[in-house]
Amino acid sequence: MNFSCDIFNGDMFPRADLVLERQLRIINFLETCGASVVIKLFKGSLKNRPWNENMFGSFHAIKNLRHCAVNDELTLDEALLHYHPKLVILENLGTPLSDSVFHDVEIILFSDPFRFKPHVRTLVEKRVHLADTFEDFMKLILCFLKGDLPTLRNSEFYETHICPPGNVFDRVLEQLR
Amino acid sequence: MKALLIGSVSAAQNALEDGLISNYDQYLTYVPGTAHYCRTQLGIECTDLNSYLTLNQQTETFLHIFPLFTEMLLDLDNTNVSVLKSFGSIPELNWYYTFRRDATFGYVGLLLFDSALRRYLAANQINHLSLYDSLAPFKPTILSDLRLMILRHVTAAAFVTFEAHHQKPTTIRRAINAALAKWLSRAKHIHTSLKYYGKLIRFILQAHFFTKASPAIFFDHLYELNYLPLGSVHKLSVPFAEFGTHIPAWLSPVKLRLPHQIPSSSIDLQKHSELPYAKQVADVLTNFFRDHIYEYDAALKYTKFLVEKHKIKIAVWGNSPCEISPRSVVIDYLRRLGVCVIGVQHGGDYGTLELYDTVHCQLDYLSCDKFLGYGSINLEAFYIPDTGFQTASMIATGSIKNYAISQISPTTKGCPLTCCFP
Repeated sequence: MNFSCDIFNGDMFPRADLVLERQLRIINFLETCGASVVIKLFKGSLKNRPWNENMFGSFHAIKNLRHCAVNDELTLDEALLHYHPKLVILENLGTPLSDSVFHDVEIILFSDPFRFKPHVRTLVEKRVHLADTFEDFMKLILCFLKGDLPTLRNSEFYETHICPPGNVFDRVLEQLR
Repeated sequence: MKALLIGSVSAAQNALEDGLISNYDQYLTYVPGTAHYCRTQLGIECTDLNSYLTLNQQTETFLHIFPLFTEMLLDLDNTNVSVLKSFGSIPELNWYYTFRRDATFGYVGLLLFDSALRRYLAANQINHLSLYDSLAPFKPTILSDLRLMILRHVTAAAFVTFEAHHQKPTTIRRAINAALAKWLSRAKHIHTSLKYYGKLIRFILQAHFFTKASPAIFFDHLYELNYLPLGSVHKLSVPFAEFGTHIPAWLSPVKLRLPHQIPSSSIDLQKHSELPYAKQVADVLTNFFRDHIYEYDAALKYTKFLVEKHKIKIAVWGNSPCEISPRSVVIDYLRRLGVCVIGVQHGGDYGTLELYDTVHCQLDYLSCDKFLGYGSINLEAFYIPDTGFQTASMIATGSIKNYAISQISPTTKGCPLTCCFP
């Protein structure tokens, strides 16, 4: 989950209060939707209460969840291998997308305010259910739960922008020698 | 109307306990989590200053400020380079460029706070603002000391009276908590410092006694490089302190400049009139060098020693060298010495997003000769600062981490579930 941070964080993130508002809506929806859900936090993040209280606005909201599991013991890679989820919900664009695309999993992504370059977007749309507005994002999650979301497993985005075919170790070592 | 500014959840709890809440008409914060906590747990409506920013203000401010601020850093470099040059044979390096990420983000944050606060004061006809406790961030940043100055400046400009309430440990519980927090923070600092000194000692021993031919320098932290089986590549690890963890000058094994030997120097502020508070920011950055210059000197001296002793040809970083530490200057120096610096992508969003190429150019591509990215990157930067270095050549090797994970056979254990929300 994204950090909502505070006003002093000057990176090109979405507005911090909106990040929190959206996270709360997602969490409330997932808590009541009846599906088996794990909310995966940064590894080890629940141990640091002062950090959570200052940097992670949804901290108090996830403390009392009854239906969703909360896990901060695994990295996303480990969680994807461990849980084999059918769906990954990404409320923000970042590394979790590149971590998720090569797994056999449906992905719903809310990318605003970031914009893919047009030729990249074309490839992303073949693999990821992309939402430009938050309302569309929530609709896509609902569609998935109803079984109405088509399966997207095209590998072009992965092979062009994450991991081209062939041996990566050899390609890197060739540069280091 | 009187308003009380609260920075954190614990400050909100203590303000309530101190009976301050009833003295004010409005409560204000700049942390969304604090506003949410006040509303849901304390039953207090607390306005979040973030809601006084327009929807795209954060991005627009960043994109506007980013080149202007970088130019100011480069101007500071040009003005102060002769002062900062540490020893005779060293070429000109970009010293202030080490602030290109943390100070830029911090500065944009200050401007957003300034803007939102002005709008809030005007819209709510506030005539008195109190700050409860402090505006200190959870982790100190290079510009965080300017927050209070801006708060005073904005309130004075709006003819709003301002005062700061300091928390008083009015109960035994709070006194104990305050003492524990202070003790814990010191213990953490000592622990981080000791860990760093340990790494540093290992590095110094390695630098002197490493016997394998032509090693490559690997800068901490390695991230994806941790997944790479190095084979015949010999690795010499170089650690750098995080901001806030520093080596005391008296521990230095070689003769270095001491802080008071760095005179202050100024830039022509007229050239940077679009940057509010430019003078105060420039002073903070220059003061940083005045306090820490010996660490930069030590890092550069060791770099020279390493390159000459071990005939270093290649240096590698696994995350961009843009934290506030000597790493950025050392990397410039290595490139000037003819060492090929290789950067390795860590995380997503390189070459895939509009506008972000400019940011990555600044943080990553100008700090290496070759950039090993996940995929093909066609650079579309709207601004490339003149740092005296070319942008890296892009090489699409693929993600080391994803490739390593793809080699693991998937486990059949675990519990299949419907959704994962990371």
